[in-house]
Amino acid sequence: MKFQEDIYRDWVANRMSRKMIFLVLITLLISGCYSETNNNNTTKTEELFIATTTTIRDSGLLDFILKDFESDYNVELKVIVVGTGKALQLGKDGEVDLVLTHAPMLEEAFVEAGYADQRYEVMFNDFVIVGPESGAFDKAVCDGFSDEENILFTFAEIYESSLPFISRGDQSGTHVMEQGLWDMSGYDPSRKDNYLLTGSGMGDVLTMANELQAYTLTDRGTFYKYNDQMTLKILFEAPEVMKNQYSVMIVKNGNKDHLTQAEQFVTWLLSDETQQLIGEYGVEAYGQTLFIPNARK
Amino acid sequence: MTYILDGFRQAFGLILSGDMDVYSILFRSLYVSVVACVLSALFSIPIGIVLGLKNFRGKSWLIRLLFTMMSTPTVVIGLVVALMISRNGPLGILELMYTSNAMIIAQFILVSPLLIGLVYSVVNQHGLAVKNTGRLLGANSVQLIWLVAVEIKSGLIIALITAFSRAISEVGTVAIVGGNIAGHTRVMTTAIVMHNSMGNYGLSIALGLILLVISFSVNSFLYSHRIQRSL
Repeated sequence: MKFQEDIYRDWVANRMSRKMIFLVLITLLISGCYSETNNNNTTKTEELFIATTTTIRDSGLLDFILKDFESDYNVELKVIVVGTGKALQLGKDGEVDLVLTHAPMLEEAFVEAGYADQRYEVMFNDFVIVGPESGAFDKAVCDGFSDEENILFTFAEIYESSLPFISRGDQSGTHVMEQGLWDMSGYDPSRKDNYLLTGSGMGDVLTMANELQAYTLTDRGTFYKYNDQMTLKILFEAPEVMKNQYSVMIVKNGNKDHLTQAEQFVTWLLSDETQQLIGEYGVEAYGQTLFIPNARK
Repeated sequence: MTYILDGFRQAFGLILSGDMDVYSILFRSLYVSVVACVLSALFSIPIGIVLGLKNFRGKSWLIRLLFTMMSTPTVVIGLVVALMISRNGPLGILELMYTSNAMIIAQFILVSPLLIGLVYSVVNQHGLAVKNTGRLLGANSVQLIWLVAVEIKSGLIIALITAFSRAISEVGTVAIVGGNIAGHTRVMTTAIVMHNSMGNYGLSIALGLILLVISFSVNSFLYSHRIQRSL
């Protein structure tokens, strides 16, 4: 009896090890295939790390323009999409070679602290306040007043009527702008129950605002990109006051070997052709320019 | 490198000073996962025991399905729950999206297959003898389930702790159905992800340390329990 059991055990062990060998072979085969497809084109390609913001990704601009750069310069762009706060932090830590962000005050501080030599303005659009079409602002926004006064009225209305407002709450460029507008209005929403800090990207916040039928501040680009899936409307806009300027900076702490490519990227981004491409983005799909190029020549 | 040290220094400061942000997030995490696990236990343990004791047609397929569901990615469960409860979804009228209840529902669905599967395995191994004894003593079905549950107590505790560990450490479902709203649905894992993406390492590290302490204490409880049993 015991003898038989031993034979059985050996047989099972044998079968197990055969299975293991098979599994290992399969794994090797898969990883082999994977690295092969990866290696085919990387013989001469250089890598370039760029940190940028969720508004740029969620608006779809990145996919639209970056393909050209990669094929023209034989550079593989590794794009890390985070809020502006984190993008600048990644720059400080030297994790990326470039940052493309939209919080002018933070960027100037970044240059002043010596993390970059210069910031180059690339393009702009504007922030808009969106929300469910309820007519809540009709009485708040008045014709005879300046944009600044109307912003004050709008935020006062949100605050006084306890309208649900979703904040990015992630130190992104959009969040910085929103905080600035609240400061301007003189209200502090942070203790309000209807003021929701989410810490999410622009697209997520818009989805959430749509879901909860709440108000939020968004950049125009991302809003148009998400517009057709949503019932939210633009309720207030003031392009001059709520301007959203994007700038690119070459990070000093970045990988020194990537410096040439980083400079190439900036030159390319500010070139006439790319600037024109940026201006064209969205016209076909959304019937609207989403970003207005404004590189200084 | 200094940012790591700074992060740790800040983290200990936050933990020791009893920072409200950190502790409210901690308690919300515990609340959601404990409630989800307790509800799931009430539901899953009887089912697991019945599955282990009874034989019926299609059982082997059911077990296979169950074990597949044990390893479902959390984000998939998050996605499915979100589709169900979002405003335009079939359960939209309940207005559950982005609430603690939504997170509890999602974690309930997440841990239930795990609990049922683990309980089933234990019962499958040890349950039959108990069942026969019980039957011999004239127990009815409900009494039988109770008897088996008492007999495999340690197995149940291990299963529960495993389920709790999965619930408290996952980020996929709570991020999707909770939305990480500060003071409402922000839990430890989503807060860590967010603070990391803001470059706020101190808070991330503080919450990470607390999460580690929780899993450590839970697992040392498990360990000591196992030791006691073997003695």
